[in-house]
Amino acid sequence: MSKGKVFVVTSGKGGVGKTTTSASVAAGLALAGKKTVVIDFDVGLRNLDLILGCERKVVFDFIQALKKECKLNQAIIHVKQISDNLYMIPASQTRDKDHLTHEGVKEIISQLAEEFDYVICDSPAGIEKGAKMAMYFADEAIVVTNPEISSVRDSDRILGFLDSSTRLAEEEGKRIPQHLLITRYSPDRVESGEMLSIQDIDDILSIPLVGVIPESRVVLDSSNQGKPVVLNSQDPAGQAYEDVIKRLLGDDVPMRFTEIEKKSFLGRLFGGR
Amino acid sequence: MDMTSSAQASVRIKGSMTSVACIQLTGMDEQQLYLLQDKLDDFIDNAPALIRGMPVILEMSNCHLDGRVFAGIVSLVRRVGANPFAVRGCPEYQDLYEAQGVSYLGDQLDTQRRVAPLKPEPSVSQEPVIIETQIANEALIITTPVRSGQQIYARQRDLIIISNVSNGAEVMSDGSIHVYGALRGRAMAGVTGNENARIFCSSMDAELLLIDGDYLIRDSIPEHVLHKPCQTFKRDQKMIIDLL
Repeated sequence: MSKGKVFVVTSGKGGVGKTTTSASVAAGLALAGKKTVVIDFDVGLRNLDLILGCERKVVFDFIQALKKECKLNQAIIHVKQISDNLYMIPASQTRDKDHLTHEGVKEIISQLAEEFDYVICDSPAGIEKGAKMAMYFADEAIVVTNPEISSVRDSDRILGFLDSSTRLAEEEGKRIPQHLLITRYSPDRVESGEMLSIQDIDDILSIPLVGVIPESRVVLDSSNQGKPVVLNSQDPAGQAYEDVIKRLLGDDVPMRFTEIEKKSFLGRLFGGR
Repeated sequence: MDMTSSAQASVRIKGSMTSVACIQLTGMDEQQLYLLQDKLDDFIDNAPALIRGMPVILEMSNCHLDGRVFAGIVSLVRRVGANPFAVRGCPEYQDLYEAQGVSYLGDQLDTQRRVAPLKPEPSVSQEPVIIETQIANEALIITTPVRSGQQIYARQRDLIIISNVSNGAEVMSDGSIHVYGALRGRAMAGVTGNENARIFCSSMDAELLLIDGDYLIRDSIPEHVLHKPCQTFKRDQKMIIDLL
């Protein structure tokens, strides 16, 4: 039996799209036929269940499974309405993050890695215990960054921790592979100098780019409806997430939505967007 | 096997010049011990990596010591991880130093020596000079980016970084610092007192450049060297940045 791969989705800064990305990556992998579970590590600020539209099915949570107050299987929610292959474990809304212990998290993640092809750990913001636990047992990391300087600097800080504070780093002296995902990218605003360009971000972070998600109104709407944006294959943001899944699965797909879209003749004639 | 290994082993006792950090204590007595504690606490907050295992000379002037006070000084310095192995100054307390296992190096303080006039060097040496060459301490080589919040200290050797140093990162060395990449964080060379240390980088964008106590902040780095390969060094107590 092959062991599943453990990803952490992290960023340092809050509000850059970690949970949106975790939900879309998990849903995308599941739809690609991979049995996937996504864990919400944001103890006390539970959100992932909302984004995946299964907030009404939450009975037990991650901390309870960790403290063996319930069986692990009881804490796992099958997100059938999105894919037969998609499962999630909600964060505890009432417990304290001090319950996240190395031994407890290790036991759960290794059990999940036996059963699933992919385990996605949705990290909380910051560099406190929750974020460190979410990354500790990861095999690979997706670092989510917005094209603005404070987000990039916080990601740089997180990359420092990813280099030194994971199990693979501590026990085997290895750096885990790191993927950069830029979200809320807007080529127009880069052109006008309001936003950092992909090149600017790469100069600072210098890790491989796994995707660029364009700014899109659909993202907020998808979150509110509990449908990960990757399901919206009409929208550029959804398509960009589809590309990310393909790259994570090893396909070489060219970057899209990174250049200003040429307006059609009629578009130019009548203005607007 | 045993024969060869015993043939290779050897013991040699010889002098060596090494730069060592100093803690200067002036007017220290029992009531003033807290000053030392505060200073050390500050230091360890700012640079924990620097002080761990650091050999330290205590320089005493106008101190009023007894066995208990000196033991207190030593334990405060050890508590933060540094190793106070020798004392200069206040010769009247020599017995106290030795009781704590700390060597006494004489009464001549570092600060006095610096201002002492240079002795003329003999142009031709009277005796044959034997110079023993020895490979200097190997440089510490870092091949991965130094990220914001990370601190790297190369003790008694040069530091070579074959990557970028991010904003909010701190690289320190007792010798020189070489950055084959962009230097965007803080670089401190010759930190235990080596004014000949230099800082080299492929792209200058530093938050702070420090050599042996003198420093330049970002705003005082001249415009024409920004984002360019350059070296920083000290001449006549002044920090100088030259394009490479």
